[in-house]
Amino acid sequence: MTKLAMNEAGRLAPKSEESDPLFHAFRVLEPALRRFIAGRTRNNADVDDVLQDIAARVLSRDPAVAVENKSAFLFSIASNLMRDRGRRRLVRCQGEHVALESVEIADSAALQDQIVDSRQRMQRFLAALDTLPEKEREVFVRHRMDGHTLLRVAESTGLSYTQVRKLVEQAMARLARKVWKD
Amino acid sequence: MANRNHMSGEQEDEDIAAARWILAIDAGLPPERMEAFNAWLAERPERSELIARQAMLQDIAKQAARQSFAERSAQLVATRHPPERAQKSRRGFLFAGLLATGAIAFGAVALTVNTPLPASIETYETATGEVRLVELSDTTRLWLDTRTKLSASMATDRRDMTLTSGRLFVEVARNPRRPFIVHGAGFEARAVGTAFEATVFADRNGVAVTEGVVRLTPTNGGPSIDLVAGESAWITRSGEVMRSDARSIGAWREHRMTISDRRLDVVLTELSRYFDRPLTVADAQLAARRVTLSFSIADLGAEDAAHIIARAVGADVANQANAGILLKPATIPR
Repeated sequence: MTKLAMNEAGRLAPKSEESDPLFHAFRVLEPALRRFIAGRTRNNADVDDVLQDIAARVLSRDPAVAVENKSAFLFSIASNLMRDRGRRRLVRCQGEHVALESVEIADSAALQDQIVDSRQRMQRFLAALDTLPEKEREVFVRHRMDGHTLLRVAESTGLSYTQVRKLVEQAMARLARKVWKD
Repeated sequence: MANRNHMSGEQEDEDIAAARWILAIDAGLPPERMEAFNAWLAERPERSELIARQAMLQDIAKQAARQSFAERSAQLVATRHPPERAQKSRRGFLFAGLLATGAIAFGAVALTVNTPLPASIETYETATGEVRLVELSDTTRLWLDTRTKLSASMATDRRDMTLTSGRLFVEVARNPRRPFIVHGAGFEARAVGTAFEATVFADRNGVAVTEGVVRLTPTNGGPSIDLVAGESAWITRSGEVMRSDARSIGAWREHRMTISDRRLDVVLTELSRYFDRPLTVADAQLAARRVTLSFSIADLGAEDAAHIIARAVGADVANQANAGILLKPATIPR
């Protein structure tokens, strides 16, 4: 297990940040995670708490076990932590009288909305994947879904590494726009 | 309209930039690029949301991959154990429902498969003089030396590499539940979270370990031995295991020939593999001479390499009619 220590800023950090790629990714994505959490909770105090919980979870992992998609992993932890907080509040609220404004997302309808949202996103994702140009779909599936490295995808498709990377980027951009229809 | 197209193009650029950053972060963003990422992020507040979307998109993609895997597993089980007609139609209805809703939670239902899925097998072969790096789906890294033939079989419960000829350096991605095994001529090497070299050419069959532990098992039924970093073991012609130190392992990945106290004829056999022209030595006394030397072969021809070796052992170089290069005792002793 990674040893924890307080760094100069008084925050939890592994003794060697470079030794844990996931913690490094957390540091990189911290500003984006902060906005992500702040945009989904009404309680500002929750933002720091959730970030601290994410850091604690990352640091308590065995660093020898690699995380393939670090960004997805971190945002997924953030979503789960916010959902858990919502559920805990809901349970507490059911047993006592609480002012309505303090309930936040902790109502069962909101939690149900999240489930419906995730189903809709999956439907949109599957539909959007079908509409991608053939090569884009192929390299996206191999790299982002099957977990093959860009190098390996390049070898198996006969494309250059740069071509594969660009196709994957284009596919990711198209899919995001279709899944989150603006 | 033009303005709308401009907006759309700009949005597309923003989405592509977010995708590019996510790919870079997942691959491990170098510390010197962190500042650039933070500056890009801070420039527009909505960019944080684009980053979040790309991260969540990846989560959805992985869920879809798991769903697809579960469906393939179910199809495999169905093929092995064809269900009754009534059951089949029920399954068809279930899948139709799953696809219609796209509900992953139900997709992961209980398509538990105890039988491992068939392995995906890929073969790799390097040309004369080629050194290639290959990354497997589990992030294991393989370096294939010149004239190497390898097949990689990746199953859900094990990873088997069959080294037919040549030399391989492996950095194994740790996964205790999925053993990593290299099958060579007369041996089997099993490793978890380890870096080692396996060789199969010219009577040099065995492994040398640079990190972790490798269990070497001779295929003639002899006892297994555990090798730690700095150790090597070779299968002799008679099938015995000869244990020795591991020195200068894997230098060939950087196109370096690093020779440490080895017979000249053995060195020439190894060096010849990088060229179309064979390097040989006819004189028995010269052949037995020990060589210790390190040099880059990246831009060398066979003749250049022969001259470097010849200088080291005090020999002359002669071109042969068959395009081969012969090292012979120096006419004027050096």
